[in-house]
Amino acid sequence: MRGPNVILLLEMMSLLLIAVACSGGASQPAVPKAKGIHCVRDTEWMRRNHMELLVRERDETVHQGIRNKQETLPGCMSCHVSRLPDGHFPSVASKKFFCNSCHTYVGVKIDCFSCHTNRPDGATPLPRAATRVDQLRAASLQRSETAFKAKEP
Amino acid sequence: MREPRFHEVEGRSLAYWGLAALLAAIVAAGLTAAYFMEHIGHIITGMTNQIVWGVPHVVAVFLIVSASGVLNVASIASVFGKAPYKLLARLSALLAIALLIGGLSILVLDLGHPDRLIVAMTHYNFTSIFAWNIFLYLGFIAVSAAYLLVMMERRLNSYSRPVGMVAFLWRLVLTTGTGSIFGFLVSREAYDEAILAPLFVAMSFSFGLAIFIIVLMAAYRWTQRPLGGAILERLRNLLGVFAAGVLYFLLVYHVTKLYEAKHRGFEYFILGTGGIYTLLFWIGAIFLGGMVPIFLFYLARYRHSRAAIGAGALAIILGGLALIYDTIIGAQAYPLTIFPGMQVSSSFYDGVVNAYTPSLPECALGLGGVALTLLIVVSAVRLFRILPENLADIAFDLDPHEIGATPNRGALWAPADGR
Amino acid sequence: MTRRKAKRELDAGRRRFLGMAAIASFALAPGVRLIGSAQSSSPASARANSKVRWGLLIDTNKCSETCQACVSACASYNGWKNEGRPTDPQWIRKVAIRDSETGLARTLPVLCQHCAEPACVEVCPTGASFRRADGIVLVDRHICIGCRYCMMACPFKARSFVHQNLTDQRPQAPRGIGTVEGCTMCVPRIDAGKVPACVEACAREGRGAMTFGDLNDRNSAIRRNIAAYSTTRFRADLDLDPSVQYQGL
Repeated sequence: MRGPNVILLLEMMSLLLIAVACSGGASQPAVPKAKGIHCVRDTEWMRRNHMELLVRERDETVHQGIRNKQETLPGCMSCHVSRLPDGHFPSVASKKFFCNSCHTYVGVKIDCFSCHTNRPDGATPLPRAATRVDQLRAASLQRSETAFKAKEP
Repeated sequence: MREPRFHEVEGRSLAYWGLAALLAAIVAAGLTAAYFMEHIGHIITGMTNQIVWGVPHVVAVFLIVSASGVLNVASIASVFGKAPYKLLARLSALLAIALLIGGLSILVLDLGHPDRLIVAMTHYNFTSIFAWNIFLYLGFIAVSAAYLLVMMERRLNSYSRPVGMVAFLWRLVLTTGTGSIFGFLVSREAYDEAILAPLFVAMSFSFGLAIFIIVLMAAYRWTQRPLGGAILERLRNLLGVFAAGVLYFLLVYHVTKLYEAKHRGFEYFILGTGGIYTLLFWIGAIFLGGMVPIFLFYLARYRHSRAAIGAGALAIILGGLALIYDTIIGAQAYPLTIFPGMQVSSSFYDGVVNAYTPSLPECALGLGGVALTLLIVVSAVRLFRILPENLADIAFDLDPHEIGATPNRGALWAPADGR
Repeated sequence: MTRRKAKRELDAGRRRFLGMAAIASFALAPGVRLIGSAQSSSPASARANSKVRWGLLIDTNKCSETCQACVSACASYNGWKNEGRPTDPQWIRKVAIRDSETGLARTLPVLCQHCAEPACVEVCPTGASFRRADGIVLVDRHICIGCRYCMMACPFKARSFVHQNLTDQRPQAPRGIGTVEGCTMCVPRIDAGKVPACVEACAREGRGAMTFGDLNDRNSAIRRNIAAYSTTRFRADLDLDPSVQYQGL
């Protein structure tokens, strides 16, 4: 049981870091504002679990060809990356790049953008206003969350 | 036989620290090269989309093949029960570990993504001989380390035979695996031959023992400990047989290829028209790696010459590097045959002999691996009791007159009585 | 615990969503172009189907010596550039062959042959080289360590190694330093029900030498052509069963 404990500890520490990062205060990272109406998941959920989603989408897309138009890295970019006042997109190294605003702060290096573009792609649609499908998905997530909590000792 | 005494080398002299510093500097140069290769890309090397494995792989394969061969000296003692070789067994196991670490470091640092080493450790594809080799290499380090331990720890000495047996079998499988990295490649003219596996085993016997002899002679000269002629001559006689073994497998390999019409083009290339590759084959692999040592080892006039033993071992090492250069890079230089019997041309170098010029970073990385190996040896013999104090003939209970060895010329230290 | 919980939520959400998407694509996506006749319409969220085996048939009689349409279409869709250096990638290339005795000459595009028994997949130590259920051979560059063993193993020189840092990659074709890459049969296009970029370009700018389709579907154009004319598979001696075949050689 030592392994899971260590992982749990690490996760608690990283959550703490994120909590500190997001708790206001002078050193809070400036997260650029997104373009779309709402994210593919609840913001709080995304803050903690976006990597799970990205890895899942990554493996399913590459190996099984399951392509969900919005839950893709270009989908993230099209919402979360905008031109700076000087008309250029922020570079991968820039602190103003969406992912970096938090990742630099918590010191977690990401290796997505040596291959993936970090610019929005005109062709990838922005998330539209919530549809019936979205509402059903949100509800099902809510249910599974509740069911999971109920089972947890 | 007297109880052998192993002792750390003193390692306080300027020469010792100078050697260690020199090796450390070369290791640092290799790491610098690897850093730039990772961050700028392989564009700074001579490797291309045609020659995808270059000098780093030549040196790495040479070190890994030698690593398994160098362990033979220990195996002769514990598996084949030749007591005199027990004195040499610790150095043999240490060299095996050091050579493998050196070779493996080069391979890993040459990857496009050395930072993803953890991926290589967590994702295995078992149809890949490469994946098997990762196991074999790591296992070899562990088995050799265990072997070294049971030899060095008196209470565990009784296990040295079974552990030595495992190590010996493991090393045979390992070199078979290394040879099969190439032997299993069906697409290239030079490969797709089962005989590559035994050829690599023979190469490992020869290169490993050559390295062992050079390191042994250097260590005993520099530490001014006595090294008898008789044991050296035994090792030399063995090395001559191994060098001949490599020639034999090489002959069978090339005759087989020559016999098959579809491979004749490749044979003409390596044996006749291949420029540097032909030169490396005849001057390097055959002349330096085979003829020179065999003459030096068996001609009567060099019978008691240590210089001849050293020169022969060195020639085997150079010839071995040339042979592996041909085996890895020559094989890629020769174009793939997608359209048999047709003249082929394209923007992607189809149908032409591919050019390759080794670059400085690649050579630095390769040399860095060699230096790392030697640095491990130099440090370990200072920290642990690896080297016997006395390797004069009398320490082995070998009769110098029996095989006509010279007395310990050059030995500045004479064995004291009543030890 | 958090990690596992997140996974479960993902699962639940995904199952629900996939169900929805499947219904939605039946109802809402009639515009998706069908390839051949009987194959699936490949809604974007559907799994690659093992009943399908995508293949290419290239008619060398129709391939013109000077035409580079397939090559430039591939380069522009996937974002690679050949500047004439031996380190530059070439996912597809035009090869000129000539029989030195008879003078018979042909040009033809050579690309990943998407073998059923791919040598690259067998040798890949991490499993980064893999064959998708519908027969497309790909590199998962997330787990590619850049060892280049697949390039040693491929009989067709179909793969390239990225020798330097890249910027401005195409969103649909991520590619980057230190990994191996090659023809993907334009897999995002296939998943969206379209044909590969080279095939489209050949039909538009060339003489329509390339036919794309499902080799398993008896009614597809590619299958009917393969049944009617004798075709060539490169390195047939190796029995790798490539999905790319050539006509007129």
